[in-house]
Amino acid sequence: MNAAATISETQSRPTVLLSAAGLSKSFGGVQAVRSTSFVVEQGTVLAVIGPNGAGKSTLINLLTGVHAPDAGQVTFAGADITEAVPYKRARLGLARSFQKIRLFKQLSVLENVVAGFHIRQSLPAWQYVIHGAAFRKTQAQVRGEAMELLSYVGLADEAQIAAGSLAYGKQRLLEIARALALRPKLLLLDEPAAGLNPVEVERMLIHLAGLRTQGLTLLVVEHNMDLVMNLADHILVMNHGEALFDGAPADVQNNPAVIKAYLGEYQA
Amino acid sequence: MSERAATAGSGLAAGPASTGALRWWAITLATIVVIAILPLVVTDKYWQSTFIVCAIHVLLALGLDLMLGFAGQLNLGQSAFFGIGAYVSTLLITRLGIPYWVAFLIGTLGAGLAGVLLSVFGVRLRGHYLAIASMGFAVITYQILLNWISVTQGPLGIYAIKPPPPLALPGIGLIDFAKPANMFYLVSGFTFAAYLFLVALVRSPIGEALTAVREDEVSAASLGINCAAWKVFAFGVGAAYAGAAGCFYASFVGTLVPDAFNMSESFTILAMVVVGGMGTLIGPVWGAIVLTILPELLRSIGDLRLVLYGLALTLVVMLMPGGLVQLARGFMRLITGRGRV
Repeated sequence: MNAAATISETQSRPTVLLSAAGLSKSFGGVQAVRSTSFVVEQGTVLAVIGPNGAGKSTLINLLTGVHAPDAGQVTFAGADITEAVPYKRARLGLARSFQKIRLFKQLSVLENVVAGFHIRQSLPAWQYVIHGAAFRKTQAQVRGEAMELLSYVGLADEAQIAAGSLAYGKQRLLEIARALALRPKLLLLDEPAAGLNPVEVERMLIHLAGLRTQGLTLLVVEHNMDLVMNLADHILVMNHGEALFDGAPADVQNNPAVIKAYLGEYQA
Repeated sequence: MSERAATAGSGLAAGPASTGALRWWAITLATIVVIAILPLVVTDKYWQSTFIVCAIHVLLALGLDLMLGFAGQLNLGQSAFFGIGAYVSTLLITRLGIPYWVAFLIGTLGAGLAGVLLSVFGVRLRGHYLAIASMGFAVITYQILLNWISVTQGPLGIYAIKPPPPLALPGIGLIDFAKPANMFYLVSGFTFAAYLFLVALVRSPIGEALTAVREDEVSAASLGINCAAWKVFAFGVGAAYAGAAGCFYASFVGTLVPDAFNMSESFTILAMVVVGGMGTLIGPVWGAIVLTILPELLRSIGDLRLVLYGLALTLVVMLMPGGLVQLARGFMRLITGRGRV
């Protein structure tokens, strides 16, 4: 079942940005993720799909540090981050969005993105109290860059309104803009199309494809096959906590094991 | 629409730099003028003393607001930090003969350190559990003050605490802090500086980090913000503010008894922050002033003033969660908005 190894051998040694090796996690008696391994190569898009309860959410939680795995190892940008807490992973360049949107609802759209610049600002300590020229320069620069990110996702006109009052689809885009403020090496998107209408899904796809074009590495967990097929370089299909298939999008639709997992076995 | 937008960031969003700076200078100047002339206009010693208590309460409320209004951590132990500042500074002066301002510094930092220690242990606790832990801390501190008689003299109290030493100012002469007017200048001047310090702090990336922690810790962590560290920071600074208030309180009142630092004092300070408007800095200032002056005006009703506190708190939480600040903003919007439409 470990298809990840064969993939990295067949290609001409691309740089591996994120790799999971033998990840396992169980809750009580339920084995949510079972010795799952895969790699995400620099500049590619890996989509993780699977039926409900396949272990996708647990896998995300293991990658972002919400849970620690029972066994296995997560390596990111050459560092072992298996035990690292979430904020340290973010500092290494692993940004994420949330399946259930988690914006700072009471803050303005702009302030949400500005918060994403937190770790990239460096000021002399006294400038936090006495706001000098360096402080004002950094403030203006951060706000300028934040507005650029908002323009990118088409939210510049709504920069000053409270994030909680944005339309649902726009909240998803804002969460992505906020994550991009980290200038991440890898952006992990947890069901970015969930709850979106077809028009919004189309817009989301355009934005994500744009990010891929710019060379950003993406890991997308998604149910929307239209988005997955259009975006992914590799697809990891999970079922019962295990990697069922790992390969190119073109092959996934013809894979008997995948069809069986999704549609059930046809009894002749 | 645009007005509501401007308030979306709980007052953090600064306007254009030039008008913002102008407004800042105007408010600063006005405050200095008010502080300067207040004891000249109100010469009654009793009311001057009330104003000093006001300034002490503002300091306490500002400290709590940093923890509660910005970092989102409910601390019901502010009375304990207040007491630690008061007793540590006083004991250093009376027992060890340490100079007042050195004792002041140690009392303030000591309370801040207590805040750091409490939050390091409480950092894993959230919401009600942290509130209960801080409440426990307040009870323990009160009991220590009450029962460690060999050091604190327990319920007998410490008497005849001296005011801060006279200050020789070139050109003005010796400033005697035994006079309420001079003590008022000292405490309110310090409090105003402490206020400006916090304003600068919350308008910097520090304020952004604290607000992110308050709004959503999981989300904040995903942006690389170390939530635990910022909670400890808010507790340390907020507790140090209470400690400074305690140092002033002891040298102003001249008498220390544990009952001044009973846990009910924590709720009084909480009422000031909530009534004023937590998450803003000007709110707790007005909350502290109103809830100090009002009971004095209503002194004839005696213990009913506690009922007044409770009633004010209930009404504000139910009808006006943004406190006096929300009321003022709504009022301004009514005036300016009507004019334009």
